[in-house]
Amino acid sequence: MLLTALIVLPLVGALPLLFARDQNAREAKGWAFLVSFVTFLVSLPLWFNFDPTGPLYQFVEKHRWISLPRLNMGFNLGVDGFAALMVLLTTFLMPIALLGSWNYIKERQKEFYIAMLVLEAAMIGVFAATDLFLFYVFFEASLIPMYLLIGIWGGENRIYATTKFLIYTVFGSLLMFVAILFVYHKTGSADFGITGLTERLAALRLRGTFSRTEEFWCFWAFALAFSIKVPIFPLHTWLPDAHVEAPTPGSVVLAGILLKMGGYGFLRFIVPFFPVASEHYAPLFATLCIVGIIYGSFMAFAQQDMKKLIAYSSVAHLGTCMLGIFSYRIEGVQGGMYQMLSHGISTSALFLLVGMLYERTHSRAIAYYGGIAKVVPVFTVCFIVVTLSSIGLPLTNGFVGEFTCLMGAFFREPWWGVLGGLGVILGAVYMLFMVKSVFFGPLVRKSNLTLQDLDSRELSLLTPLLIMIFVMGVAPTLFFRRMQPAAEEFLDYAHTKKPLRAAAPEVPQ
Amino acid sequence: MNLLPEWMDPQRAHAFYADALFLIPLLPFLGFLINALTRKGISRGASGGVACLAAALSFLWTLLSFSASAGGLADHVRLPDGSLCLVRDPAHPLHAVYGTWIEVGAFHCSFGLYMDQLSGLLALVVTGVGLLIHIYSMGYMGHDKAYARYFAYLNLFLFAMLVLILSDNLVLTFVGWEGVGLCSYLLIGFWYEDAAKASAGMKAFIFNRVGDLGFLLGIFTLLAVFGTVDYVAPPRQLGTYRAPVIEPRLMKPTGQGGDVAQETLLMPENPGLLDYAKGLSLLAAPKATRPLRFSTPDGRIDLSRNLATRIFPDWFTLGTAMTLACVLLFVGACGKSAQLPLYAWLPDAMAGPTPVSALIHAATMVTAGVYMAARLHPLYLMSPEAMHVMACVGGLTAIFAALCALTQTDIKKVLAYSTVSQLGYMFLGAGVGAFAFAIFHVVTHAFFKALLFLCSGSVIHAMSGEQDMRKMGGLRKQLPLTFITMFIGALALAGFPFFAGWWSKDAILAQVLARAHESHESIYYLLYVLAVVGAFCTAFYSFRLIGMTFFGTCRASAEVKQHIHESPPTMTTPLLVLAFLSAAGGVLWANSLPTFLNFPEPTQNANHPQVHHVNLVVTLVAAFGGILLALFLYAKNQKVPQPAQSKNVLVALSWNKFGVEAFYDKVVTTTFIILAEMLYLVVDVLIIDTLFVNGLGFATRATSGALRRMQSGVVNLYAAGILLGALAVLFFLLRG
Amino acid sequence: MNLAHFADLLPVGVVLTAALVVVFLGLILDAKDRFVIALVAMAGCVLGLGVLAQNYVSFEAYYKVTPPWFGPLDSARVAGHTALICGGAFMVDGFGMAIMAIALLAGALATLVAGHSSERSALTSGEYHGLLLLAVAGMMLLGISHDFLTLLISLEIMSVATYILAGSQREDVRSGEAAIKYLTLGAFSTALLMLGMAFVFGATGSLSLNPISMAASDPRRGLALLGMGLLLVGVLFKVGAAPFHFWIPDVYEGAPTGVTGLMAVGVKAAAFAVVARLMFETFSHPSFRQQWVPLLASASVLTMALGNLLALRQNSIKRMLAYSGIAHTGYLLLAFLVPREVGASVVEEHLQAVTFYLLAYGLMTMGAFGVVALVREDGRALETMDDFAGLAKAHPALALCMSIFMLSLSGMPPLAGFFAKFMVFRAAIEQGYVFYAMLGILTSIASLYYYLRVVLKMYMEEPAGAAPRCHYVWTSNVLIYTAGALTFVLGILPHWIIGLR
Repeated sequence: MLLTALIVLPLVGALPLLFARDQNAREAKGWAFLVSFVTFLVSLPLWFNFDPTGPLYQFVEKHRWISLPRLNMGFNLGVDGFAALMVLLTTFLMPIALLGSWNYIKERQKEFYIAMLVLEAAMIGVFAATDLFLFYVFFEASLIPMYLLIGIWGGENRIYATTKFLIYTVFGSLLMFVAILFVYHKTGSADFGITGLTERLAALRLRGTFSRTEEFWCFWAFALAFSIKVPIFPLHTWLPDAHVEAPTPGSVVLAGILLKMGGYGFLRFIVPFFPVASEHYAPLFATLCIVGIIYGSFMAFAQQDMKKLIAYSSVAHLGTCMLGIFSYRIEGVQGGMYQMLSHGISTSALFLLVGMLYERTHSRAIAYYGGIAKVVPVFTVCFIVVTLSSIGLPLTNGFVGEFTCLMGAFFREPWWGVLGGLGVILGAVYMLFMVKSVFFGPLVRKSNLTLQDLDSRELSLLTPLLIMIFVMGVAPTLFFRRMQPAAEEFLDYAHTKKPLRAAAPEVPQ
Repeated sequence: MNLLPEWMDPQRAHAFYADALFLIPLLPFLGFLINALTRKGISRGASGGVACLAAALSFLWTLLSFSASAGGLADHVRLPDGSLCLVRDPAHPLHAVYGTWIEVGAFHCSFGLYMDQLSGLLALVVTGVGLLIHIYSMGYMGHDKAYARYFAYLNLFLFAMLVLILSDNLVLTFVGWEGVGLCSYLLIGFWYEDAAKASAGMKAFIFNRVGDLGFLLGIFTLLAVFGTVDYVAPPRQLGTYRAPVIEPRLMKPTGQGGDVAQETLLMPENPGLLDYAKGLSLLAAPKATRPLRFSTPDGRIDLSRNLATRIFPDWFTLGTAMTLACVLLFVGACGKSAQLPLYAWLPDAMAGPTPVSALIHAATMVTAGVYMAARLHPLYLMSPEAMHVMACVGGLTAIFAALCALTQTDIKKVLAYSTVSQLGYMFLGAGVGAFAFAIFHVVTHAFFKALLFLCSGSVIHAMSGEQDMRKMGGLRKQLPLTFITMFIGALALAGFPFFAGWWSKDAILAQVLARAHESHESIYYLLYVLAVVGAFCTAFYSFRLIGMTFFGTCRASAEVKQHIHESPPTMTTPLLVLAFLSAAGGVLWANSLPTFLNFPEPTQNANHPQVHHVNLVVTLVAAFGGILLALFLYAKNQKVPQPAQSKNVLVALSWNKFGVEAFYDKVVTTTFIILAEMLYLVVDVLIIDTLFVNGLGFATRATSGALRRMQSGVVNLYAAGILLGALAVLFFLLRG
Repeated sequence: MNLAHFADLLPVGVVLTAALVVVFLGLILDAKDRFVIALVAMAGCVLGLGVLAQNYVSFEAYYKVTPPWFGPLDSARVAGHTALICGGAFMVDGFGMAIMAIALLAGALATLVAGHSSERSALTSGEYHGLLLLAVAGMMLLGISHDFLTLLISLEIMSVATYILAGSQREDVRSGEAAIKYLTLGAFSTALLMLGMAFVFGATGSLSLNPISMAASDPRRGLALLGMGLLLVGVLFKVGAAPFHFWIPDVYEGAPTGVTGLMAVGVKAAAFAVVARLMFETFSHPSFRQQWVPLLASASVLTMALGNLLALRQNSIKRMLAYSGIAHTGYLLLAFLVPREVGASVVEEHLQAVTFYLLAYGLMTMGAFGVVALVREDGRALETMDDFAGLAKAHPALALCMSIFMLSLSGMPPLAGFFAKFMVFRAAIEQGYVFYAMLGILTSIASLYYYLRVVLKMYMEEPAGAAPRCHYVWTSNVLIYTAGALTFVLGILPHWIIGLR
């Protein structure tokens, strides 16, 4: 019941807010934070009671949901090592994001916190669902709160940004919707269990009743949806706008968790479902990832707006992560998973920090700052530490992910590693340029002399992230150990080595 | 030397010191933590003291551990005939593995420390020189407000550098490698209010990153071939003493004990890179043509499962793979050790405080590349091509930087280019296979270059921040101590006989000549000539510096003149110590070092008498020529150069560094920026967003707008529509 | 006519009686407590629903068989039992009952809307509600009528009533215009319909909707085909499929909001019932299938595309909803694409999809129109998007419901609209119409844009002038909140409804 509890808790927590009279209830944020924090505490067993040597899926729950003749959706939850970590990442980031929105959100607070809590529930559902239909429901449901977060509490250009975000994403996911229906029909409309579907599809492929053409079409329908989410070049242009306009906590959740759904989709659905097509297109996607890495870095370098810069850096980092996954080498796949986690930590921290600056000066323009290191030393230290983790300095989380991804890529195709590795250089270039022009040099603006350094709240919400940066950098095995079974399973599917279980499920001829 | 107490069972002592290796890097790290966490918390004296104490303890512990590793270690081995025999292991490395760091798929790397002669020696240099510079800094940075931050960085650097040197695998070395890069970044930009200094730090980091990518790819290549990043096989269990593998046939029992050669074909289980290299080197067949997938019949060396065969083209032999790996790693070295074409950051790095220049950008960090080459020399020896590359790059850098140094007027810039040049000599030496002498030069260079920098620091201190030698002169009266010590340093650098620099540089040049002599390849003769010319330049610019700074009359402004004073003892003491080392440091190891490091002899006839004599004469001529000319021009005639205005083409070239740095700063940077902007505007904004994304939306809305016309509101038209529809239906149905 | 038959028609009876009562009340009550009329009308519908439910539950008691879902194809009938009543004039099967239920629901909700739109004068009068109930009765009969005669009569009962209703907003010019347009075009289409019936009668000599089977060689086949085509045109007009959809925007916009709701939901449901009867029963023979399936397929695509594209740039919400209604017709038609002869269970699934879709659509649309009817300023109806700006601040609850309706209409999970779409598209895909489904989905991306524009206005934009006000009326809230809640519940637990059979 743990996973159900995790999904239900935020929703239940949102109810009192829903019926709160006062629009800007002072208690709203406190309550929301409390709820999310409790959710985090409740989610801890996913770390402590998860047995890496145990079965692939753990904390499994199966509840009957919709069961009609030839139409079975179960409310089935369960997590493998990777999904568990993603859920933990969600529950871990959420309280921090909420704490980060403390002073940022001024009007319509209760609605804001409702949206955040609903979003949390949806995201947990996405990673916990073992039923494709359920996954899709959560996947789509997570869009609306984000849509509102950007659209209501966003910057001046928010409406364009949020519409773009929604249409872009839904465009992909609707095509996937058709593909899902097709797959469901193809596999005999038995049920939506992910493993079941995978195996039935494999069986069909063996019997030759799941033609190459069909597989390729389905692959593209799925791949489009998740590539947009990652985002993979050239489907990334919604991201910078969304990030720039989104309020800080929105950006944190978007970069920290929502983007990961893309990679998660590739790991969980696309490759297991359509291994042949995936293998066939792996080089293409790897190329796109590499382009994304290099191109994204150049984009980041060209930006004047810090948030936009970080957004583009996400394109580059997730390019590395996907490159690792497409390498189909255990090192790369686990590296990709790791990169997702570490990117979730570092980038969230970056967005929080930029948000804190924004709260003080209401400017995100790099040019607005310069030489503020003297004024806000503690802030500077935090920012530089996070920067270093994001450019992958050894003993921080960034290095481990990047290193393993590139290793996997190199082991698949040396030139993937070489070109992908350019990100290592370029990343340093744009990040350090930002750091230099924001913090170093003479103080350009007298008004920044009165800048406040981090207060205790901000420090307390950054500390866990900073700690994680080093924990993940020094003791990655803690995480790799958990991911390994998931990664191996993935590779079995990817190389279509996965032996079908004895009773190959019946399939209509 | 063996500092082990007699009563201590060598085996236990050895195990103990191995386990305790971690203290060496840990102590500076603690110092860093203390200084970092209690920023304003503790008094200046305290923070400096903590830092120095950390360095000192670390130095002490290095000394003890080193003696434990280098010191002979007795062990009893039962011979086949049943008699006990005392095996003397001339140098038994300390090795401890403290746990796994990354373990994923086939890849595994651990937190392990490894101290053999090489790493031990360098660790000694780092901690020793580091300690001196810590002490010096207390005086030099005395007036700086960010005192604690400075010492925090300095300690952090020691930590990173020690990790780099002592780590037992390539990846952990890379950790240190990037760590020192970070510290250099932080310390170059220490006075970050000055935008130029901050940029210099960034430049350093980025140039290093370019090299680091090469390093990473080198690691990957080695992984693909050997499947390991460890240098040597891990010890059986945590830090315990690994009994040397003895083959009875190799033993010369000498009754009550005797010496046993360590040469053996036995491979330890899960061997490291060096084990593989050694094993391969002991095999008869030529290495270069060996296929990638390969294993000895007895299965002691088994590369049959390596990935490389899958990812590299078929024509790849073991030799090619090694060349690839070594060259890639050498790219990393070029970044870290400021070789062509990645040297450009080092001159700018002088923006940092002078002690930092001394420690990081002269004595220790920049020599990391040489250390890496020496550490992996068995691999390099497997690839002649890589050695060629190393030799050529080294030689070119040596002469190039020496030429640049000739016309510099900034006292620190001169030393910076001199450093680049000296590093070039080291790689030249390594390139011809004289790894031992390269390391020897690293050590001596660490002494005299640190000395020179610290002296220049003392001068700058006295001149209240002035660095332009044209505004100095005649300081030998006011700064006698500085003068003497710096003079010694200059002699050492110039290669004055019996001074530290002379031994090492002479040895390297001899090796180059010998190599040329042996393999009648003109390229090596050319390199030798270049190196000699470089040596001449070295002598010239070092004494040009001395002359302009200490001789003649003071050209400084009046109020600067008043403040000229000899530095406090905290600064002068280190100078004296280093001066002693620069003077005598060579003698200590002149001949013992190669055997001590027991690296292989680079060339058969290295000790060929006439090669040595020729070389001796040539170098002496070059050195004396340079020194005398410089003294004549700048000490006697008080020449004050104005290279910026000089009409002389050669001067102009040297002054503008042959345009290399201008190329980086102007061409590369601007192209990068313009490219980024262009891409952003054209691809992202125009093509993807405007054309496709918004274009699609616009098209849809346009269509909708057009269709709306149909909805005219006129009933007749509607009816017509219905009728047409009906007709269409009927036509379809009755089409036949 | 035995008791059972009486019982089966009782719901209709109830509604008709209610209609009479209402008219009578209209005469005696004075203006201020006219709202009683609305309540009575609603009560009538609710009572009808109750009776219907009772029938459904006790179906077995009467017929000794479980209720057949779709009469003629059901095994129960083969076993000698039948849901045919009144000499085959009506067919009371699960599907028919479902349609009845939807009609009743639409009626009930419509009364709630209408009762409180500002045009009190006309729209609270007895005759208005009388006609409303009459139309409902017509729809119910359409749902179960099983021969051309009853079909035509009930169709006319419904249509005539709605013609008048559309024009019942006397003081508003648009209303009258709407009525005229509707009448003209409606008559036009009915004519085609009757002609079609005539042809079919000529071909078969029977008025029953029983399956027709004719060999390809049969000379009368052409006649039958002709009839089928005309019938098709007639019903497609009623459901508002392209290219017979032109009347919809103008009429929906002009008619009083409540009536619009009723038309959008009830008329559509009833008409689709006819489509089902004709296509899956009368012309279910393969030789006819291969003729009408491609027709419906192309009509469906055309409808989806036109509806969504045209809705894109509407600024009047009623008009936007009208076009969206067209689009939804397109989606619904997908469920009728069954090219091959199939078993009862498949048809059942498809019709379940249809009915669920209609139900969900009814709830969302009615709710939406309910909100539209509420949002107004000093009597003037505010029907443009911009008028909704800032509604979320002024009336958060109302805005929340409206967003639920909009998101559900756009097919966002976990709302009823999503599952409805799911069922329909699945049906199409299972019949191999993947390409059509693809097209449908692509057009529905456009729909997302205009539905969300409403949400966007309500939540993200500041009103130009004063924030939109709406006078709270409890009945109206009942409508909106029930609709909202049901939309949500049906989205999460659709099997509660679909499971019924």
